[in-house]
Amino acid sequence: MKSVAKYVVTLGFIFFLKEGALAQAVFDTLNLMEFEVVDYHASHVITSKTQTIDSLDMREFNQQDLGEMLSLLAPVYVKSYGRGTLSTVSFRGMAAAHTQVLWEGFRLNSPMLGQVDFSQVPNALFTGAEIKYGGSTLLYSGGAFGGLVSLNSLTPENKHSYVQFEQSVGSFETFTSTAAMNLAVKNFVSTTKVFRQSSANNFTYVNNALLPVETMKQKEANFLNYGFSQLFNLSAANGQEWYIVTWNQWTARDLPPIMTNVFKLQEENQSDFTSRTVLGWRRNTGQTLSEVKAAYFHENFNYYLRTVTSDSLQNTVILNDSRNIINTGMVKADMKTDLGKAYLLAIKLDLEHQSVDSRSYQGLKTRNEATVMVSLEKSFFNWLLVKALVREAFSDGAFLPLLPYLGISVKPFSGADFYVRLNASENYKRPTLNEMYFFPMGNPDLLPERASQVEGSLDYSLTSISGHNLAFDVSAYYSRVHNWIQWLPGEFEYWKPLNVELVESRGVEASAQWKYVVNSWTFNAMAQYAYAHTQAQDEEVQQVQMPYIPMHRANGYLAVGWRKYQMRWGTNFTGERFTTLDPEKTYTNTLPSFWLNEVSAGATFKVGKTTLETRIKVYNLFDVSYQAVLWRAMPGRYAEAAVFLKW
Amino acid sequence: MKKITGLLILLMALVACNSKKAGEPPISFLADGGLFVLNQGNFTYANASLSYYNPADQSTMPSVFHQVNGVPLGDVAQSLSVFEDKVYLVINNSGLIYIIDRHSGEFITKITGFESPRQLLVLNSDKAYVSDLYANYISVLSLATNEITDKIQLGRSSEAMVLAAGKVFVAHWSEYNQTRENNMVMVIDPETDQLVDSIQVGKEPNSMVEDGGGKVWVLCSGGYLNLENPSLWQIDPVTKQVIQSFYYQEKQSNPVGLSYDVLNQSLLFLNGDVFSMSTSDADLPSNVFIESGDRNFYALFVHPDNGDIYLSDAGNYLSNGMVYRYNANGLETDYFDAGIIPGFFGLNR
Repeated sequence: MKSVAKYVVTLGFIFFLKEGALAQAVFDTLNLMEFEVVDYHASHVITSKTQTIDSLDMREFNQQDLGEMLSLLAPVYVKSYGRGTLSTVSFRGMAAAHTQVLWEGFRLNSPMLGQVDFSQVPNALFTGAEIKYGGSTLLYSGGAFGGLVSLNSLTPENKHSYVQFEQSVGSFETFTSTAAMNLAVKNFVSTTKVFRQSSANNFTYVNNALLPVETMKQKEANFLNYGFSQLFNLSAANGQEWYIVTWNQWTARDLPPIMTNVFKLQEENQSDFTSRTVLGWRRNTGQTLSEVKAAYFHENFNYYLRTVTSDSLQNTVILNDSRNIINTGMVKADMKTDLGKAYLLAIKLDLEHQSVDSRSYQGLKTRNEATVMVSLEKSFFNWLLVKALVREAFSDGAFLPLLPYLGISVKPFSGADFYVRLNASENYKRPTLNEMYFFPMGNPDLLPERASQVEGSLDYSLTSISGHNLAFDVSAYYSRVHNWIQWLPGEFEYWKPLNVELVESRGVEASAQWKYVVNSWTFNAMAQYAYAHTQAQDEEVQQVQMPYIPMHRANGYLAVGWRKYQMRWGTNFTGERFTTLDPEKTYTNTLPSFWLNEVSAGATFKVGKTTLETRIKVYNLFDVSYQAVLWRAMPGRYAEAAVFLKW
Repeated sequence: MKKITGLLILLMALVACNSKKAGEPPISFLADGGLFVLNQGNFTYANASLSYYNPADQSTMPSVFHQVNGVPLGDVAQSLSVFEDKVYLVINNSGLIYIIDRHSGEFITKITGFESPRQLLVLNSDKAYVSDLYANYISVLSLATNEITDKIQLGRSSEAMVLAAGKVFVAHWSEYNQTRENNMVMVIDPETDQLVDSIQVGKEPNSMVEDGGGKVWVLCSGGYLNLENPSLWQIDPVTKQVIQSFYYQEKQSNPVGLSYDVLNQSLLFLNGDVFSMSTSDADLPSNVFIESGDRNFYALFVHPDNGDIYLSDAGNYLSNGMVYRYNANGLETDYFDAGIIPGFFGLNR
């Protein structure tokens, strides 16, 4: 009863939550449980590279978006137009549209753009994230040539009731409030999460793209983002579980012009509403895991552009009022079973209907797809694992190509956690609806992309060596993508999507992790490096690194804890990038490399059952002037302070 | 002593040489009579640039604006006008006009307050008009203060402008976000800055010239979606009446870049290849004057002194383009590198 009362009180509080209120977890040291692996296998028997974002990391980035977190924790390239604005992620030398994001197994990628805006995925709403690289993504989805990020809301953080708030106040009038409430009564769990972030985003920068060069304040970059998620989970007899989870979000943001265009008399903004709901049932008998779930995603986003006259800012000269409504209905039925004799079988059936009503298209566009995936794996002699899968889709009256995957994992030394993994796969991706139908640049003649990929990796981990835990891995991959879709400039200054005959990507990823606990001290460090060489092999296109794919990427962090105090330093390096396919390197098509550093420090206090945490965080510590996207202004050093309360 | 003196002189000479930064252009390096080539760059990439070509010694200079001033030229450089000692660079998607010194290339000032400026027509030492792709008016500039002083309401967007018979003829080119059909030439009296008349022509009038006989020619491409056959119109600027019109046979044709050859009294335009016709011809030309071959001809300029024809090749719109020079007979005589999408020429005089 007490829990229920607390729940009601908290709900009331959440509704009145304003900037300045207390909110959400920073880094709950009481809650450092690692997230469960979403897959049904333990990580030591996987055949492809997989990375799990654990709860400690998730806490650190709780007030940030998924893109900001991945830029520091994964060997991926995050292309951000600035905080609160479009942020995309690409893996392994592939394009942003080759990255997929799943939430509870359902694809978030927009059927219009084919990509996900990572700035609109607030970490606070999720309990975990898992990153799949390369061919292994076929288990979940087709078209993710680079990789996918699987987000989870179902995995309960706690089996007991709690309430928590976090409030942060940052530079540029940035306020972030989050709250979470977990109510656990017998077999029933209700988890409510709320977030709200607003920012004037009016940082100061030196505009060196105009004459005279002058210090300017970023204008028309403010954003407001708020939403909630609600999970009801009921455990029933015989390992059964019923759940419904919903994620609803509203966003309003101004879109600032590039630095050369700040004097143009125009206003550009976007407002989005997304509502996603999943209803499911699952049963785990110990031998077989069955799951049936259905989802309905509704997205309503409006892009608005108007130019105004200089003498009357109210006098609209031109208007672009693009309204887009996307409705997607999906059903999934999964079955995973242990066949005995070390055989594991998985079968997945997916049905999906997409409907897009856009003013930018001529008429309603729909897509229907039914997909079957069958996966079989077998362990031999306790040192060899072989996994094979095929994926077949039937879409709008035709079968799409069969997509196979074959992977092996070898453990050559019985006494050492050392693994050799190899896999090969075929993948396929159809053009997005924008690429085909967006008026007037859409190209209905586009061919689908086809990828052939191979990957090899070595993993080695050492545990409890005088309190030290160490892990290393190195992966190498090679991908050939036929009919790569690339937006290229054309007549009338329009950019138009075209097929590039062949794009080859090869690269290496390496990472090292270290954890050490001694007395009251904890140390946690990670370093990653990624090399990606992606070039077109096409008569029409020069052999240069594909745009916005850096050859070199690196990131890392060092976290130190002593009693109730914590400190963390994070860094990431983004190498030089080309912005076009022009083979001649010029100042307008080459973005220089940059290092960004951030540091945070905090303390945790416990009074009775109440936990209080405080933290300050400084971003872009060395006040680096950089451009992530050509001529997009980015902030220098900025900071935030946060308070977290939990009881 | 002589050796010491010699060494001192040498040292002083070296110091004098080093006082100028390596690569820094001379103060007056844009020779009179040269040709400015304005490279549009790609939309939203702010990679426009200004190239310079001196026909006298066939020398070229890339990225003049950036070299001299250290900043990018901006986003989609649309057109330029040279007047007295200044060059007016109209940067369309940046919504501004840069003014630079025509000898040194140095920045003088910029004019802001536009929506989407396209072309600047100098009327006299005090006044210029600026057309606009989005705004439904012409901006009137004071060349003394470099400020917008007035707006002439057209009810339509505007593009090419020609001063003929004391009136300014303004083409309504784009139908983007327009409620009125884009098939008119508007007439403005520059004395009163009033819209005084309009003349219906074909759809999407993209370029205009005044011929040696004082007549105005208007080239219409027929619309982005090829809604009607392209056409060429001759207008009497005094009576503001259409004298004659010619229709292209192919709806898919896309004639652009109408230019006038003063010496040969002929009209030239691009339609994939280069075509030429006399102003007295009774029909549109059927024979190609200069074949494009594998070149992507994008802009055309005829030198008024010698009839030399300059043709820009935008290539794949992604990499730097080229400019090819032909003599009046259509024979190629030279070529040089330009920037991304070379789209406009202007004589430095």
